[in-house]
Amino acid sequence: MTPDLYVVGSAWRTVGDDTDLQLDELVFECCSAALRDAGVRRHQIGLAITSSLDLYDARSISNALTAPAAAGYLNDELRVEGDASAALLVALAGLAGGAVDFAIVAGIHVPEIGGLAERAVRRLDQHVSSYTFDAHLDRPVGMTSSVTLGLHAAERIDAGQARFEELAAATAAEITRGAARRGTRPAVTAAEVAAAPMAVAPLTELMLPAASAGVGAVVLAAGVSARRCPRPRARIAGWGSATAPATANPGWLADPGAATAVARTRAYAMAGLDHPAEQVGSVELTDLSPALSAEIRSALDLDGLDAPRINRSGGVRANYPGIANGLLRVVETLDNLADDHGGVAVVHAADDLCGLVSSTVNVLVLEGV
Amino acid sequence: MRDHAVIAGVGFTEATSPRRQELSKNELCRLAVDRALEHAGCDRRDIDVVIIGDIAGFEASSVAARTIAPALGLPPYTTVLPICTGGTTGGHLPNQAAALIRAGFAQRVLCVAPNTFDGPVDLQAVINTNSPMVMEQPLGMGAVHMGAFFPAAYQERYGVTDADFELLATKNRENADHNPFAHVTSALSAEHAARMVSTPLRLGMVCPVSSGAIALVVGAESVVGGQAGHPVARITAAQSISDGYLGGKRRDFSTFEVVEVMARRAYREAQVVDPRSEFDVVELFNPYAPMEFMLMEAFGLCPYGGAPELLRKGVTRYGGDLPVNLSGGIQCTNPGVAGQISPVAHIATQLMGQATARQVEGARRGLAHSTGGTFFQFHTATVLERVDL
Amino acid sequence: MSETSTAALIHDVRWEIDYRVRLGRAWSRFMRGLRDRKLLASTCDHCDRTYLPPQSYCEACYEPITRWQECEPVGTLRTATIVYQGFDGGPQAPYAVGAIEIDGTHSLLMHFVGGVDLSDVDAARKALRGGVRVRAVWADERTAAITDIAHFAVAPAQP
Repeated sequence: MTPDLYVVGSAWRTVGDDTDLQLDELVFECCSAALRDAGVRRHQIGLAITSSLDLYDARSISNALTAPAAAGYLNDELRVEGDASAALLVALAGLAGGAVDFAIVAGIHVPEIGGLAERAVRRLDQHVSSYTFDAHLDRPVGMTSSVTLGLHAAERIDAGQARFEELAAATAAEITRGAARRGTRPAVTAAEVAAAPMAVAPLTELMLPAASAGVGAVVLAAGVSARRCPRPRARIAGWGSATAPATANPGWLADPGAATAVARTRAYAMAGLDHPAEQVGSVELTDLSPALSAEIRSALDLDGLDAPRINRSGGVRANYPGIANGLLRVVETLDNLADDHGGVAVVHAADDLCGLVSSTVNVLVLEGV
Repeated sequence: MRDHAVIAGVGFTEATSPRRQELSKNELCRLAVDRALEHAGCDRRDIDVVIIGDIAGFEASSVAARTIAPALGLPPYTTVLPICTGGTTGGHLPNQAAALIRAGFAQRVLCVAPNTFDGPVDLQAVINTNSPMVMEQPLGMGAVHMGAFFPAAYQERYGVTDADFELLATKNRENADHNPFAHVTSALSAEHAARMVSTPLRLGMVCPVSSGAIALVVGAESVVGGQAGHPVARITAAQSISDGYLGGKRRDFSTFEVVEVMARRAYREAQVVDPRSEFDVVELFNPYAPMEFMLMEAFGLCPYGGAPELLRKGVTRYGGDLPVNLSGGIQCTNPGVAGQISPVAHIATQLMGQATARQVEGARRGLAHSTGGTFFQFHTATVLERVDL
Repeated sequence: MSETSTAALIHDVRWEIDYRVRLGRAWSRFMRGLRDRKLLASTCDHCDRTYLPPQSYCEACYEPITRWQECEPVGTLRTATIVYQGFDGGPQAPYAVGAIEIDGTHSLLMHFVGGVDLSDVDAARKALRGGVRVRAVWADERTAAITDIAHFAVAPAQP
């Protein structure tokens, strides 16, 4: 039997250079907004799960600073070093297992580097990514998250499976769409995307995810506790998780959608989605380069989905808050469900600590309430 | 399918100093995993999720789970869950495995606790960065100094003597003599042990830096219970607690205040009414020996200030009716995340009747604890019970 | 092949990242106060807990904090440890670190404790027992950092 679990509140804050708040103050602001949205008080929360990394937060055991701000004070608390969607699944386990009735999940990506311009954030994220790769085989030869995306895109273009002009056009459309929502980049044309500085050939800077700083929080609840909340946002009808192969395994390059397909199979089976392209109203993808989009869509069995239903928020090329991305995709999906007055939506989230290599993919199926 | 979570397999590697360790981190973790799988009678192809702990900044690679997981020979696409909560990382691994199994998200979870401390050239310098930056780190507060605050206050409040602490440290080293996976034993020279580090802590009361890995197979009772060929250890309570950030939030350093709160929750969950009589064996996280007294009290195993008397009466020694840290504890062996999971691992083997150290005959229920973070901000508790299948 | 050893190789691995850490609302105001020889605390609007170091939210009742007050830099030592073996980059040992409850607050401030001869361990430990009254001694050069207080002196010093 699928456990009866809900998102009952959420908050998102994209963080810019104008903030005067310390990291924990930002987390408090966002988590208290999510609790207000949920109509839930801190003392009802039994479990606080955070997604963050010391190397972004510039502090050893940085969740020591942020846990009390994330409603973790005197609570069961845990920090996951992966995309915030993994933290969300851990919280769901606590609810499904009956340990708690309410849980909060916080995703934190506010690099402590003095300035939060896109290039500065990406530079740190890539720096940390290089430290995440194996110290003896991969790091010395320059492997980073972006390099895996460049390798993949180059291979697809060389094989005739992708065209640079199409990637530029798709990227421009997404960035422009996102500019009207939570996007951090202004609207652009395909020509501007193509003419942007080359980042990891063949991908230009604008084809890479729009690196940003942000904090997100969602409040989750089980069963009646959730349904008694003033504004339950969505029922979490299905979820699945899988981790992609490591560097030496050719699978990450040959079939980067494979882990997505494994996660999707579990999530759809749980949610009873048998004709997803007809049943799904919107999908938010973590397709880290435009050359990946089609492969991820196929892996989600959503080839037939109408274009306007895909990445309505603009996706990761409109706003990509690193390790907190999974929560932003959930928050955007909650908006999609509200716009659609309900229905079924899919969230695809994957961490990019090592880009396509050994990335953990989570697929969620949300139903409007 | 939702079910009780049981520890079915435990894999230790022999502890040594990082300098003498000949295996790489990946090799050591693989060895611990192989032993845990064999002990559980479990095929690695059946693992659903692997949870791997690390402590950022202590290792050559950030999020060490990324580089360790591929070395474990697990099936393609096995979900990898990296956890880091500082000094409680290891304690969280079995607790989180239990959460996934109780929720029905997984049936067989592998917990991998690596040898965290093998990397840094100057480990102490790295550990010292754990004290709160900006506010408390500039005040000369490293790990051992944070650790000294508590026994200093405890001594003052309850009139506990340095000799009581030394007796405790000696008891643990004698226990470690019987644990083949221990690092420091009673071979430690008395002169070395007596050197003052930070009052009232002397070197013999402070843990060594060890190298070693531990892995656990945690599974759904109805799935893995019958395969192990030995009794398994059901996780009947899995709790953690998080205090405020700065050391100054502790208020009263003469006790681990928040452990009392966590213990109440753990006992409620496991239906423990009288902890003093209901536990057969206890392992408490004691990188600084005096913590054992303070934790016994916060866990309600004796009145506040009463722990030294239990030691003097022999109650907490081997053969007593509440043996504490028969493994020798963290005071004798501390390989980082592997050290943090070790209380659970040792209790599990006691309940299986296959103790790593001296066996408590007929042990049915045990308590395991870990702690860490700045000024012991975080704690975990795990209650385990023997299940015969 | 000139290398025939099968012993494990060792690679040197180094991390190097430069950070610039934002202290935020509460700590920025606190640190600037120290520079001006003022010890500032904040009090929760909701539950009246007073925090020193101050904070802009209360983790206990989970409400924002907006009330500030200046405290007399006097308090009670709750516990102390004397460090005889320090660490690289830390202060020169021996030195004493104390947990100090500033009068009128509900938290502890960590700081150096001075004015005690640390060469005799037993005598020093007796002098630094819990309950001893202490007063801040300001540093001559102040830079909006926690060390703008040089230490807390056991024998009340003139402010």
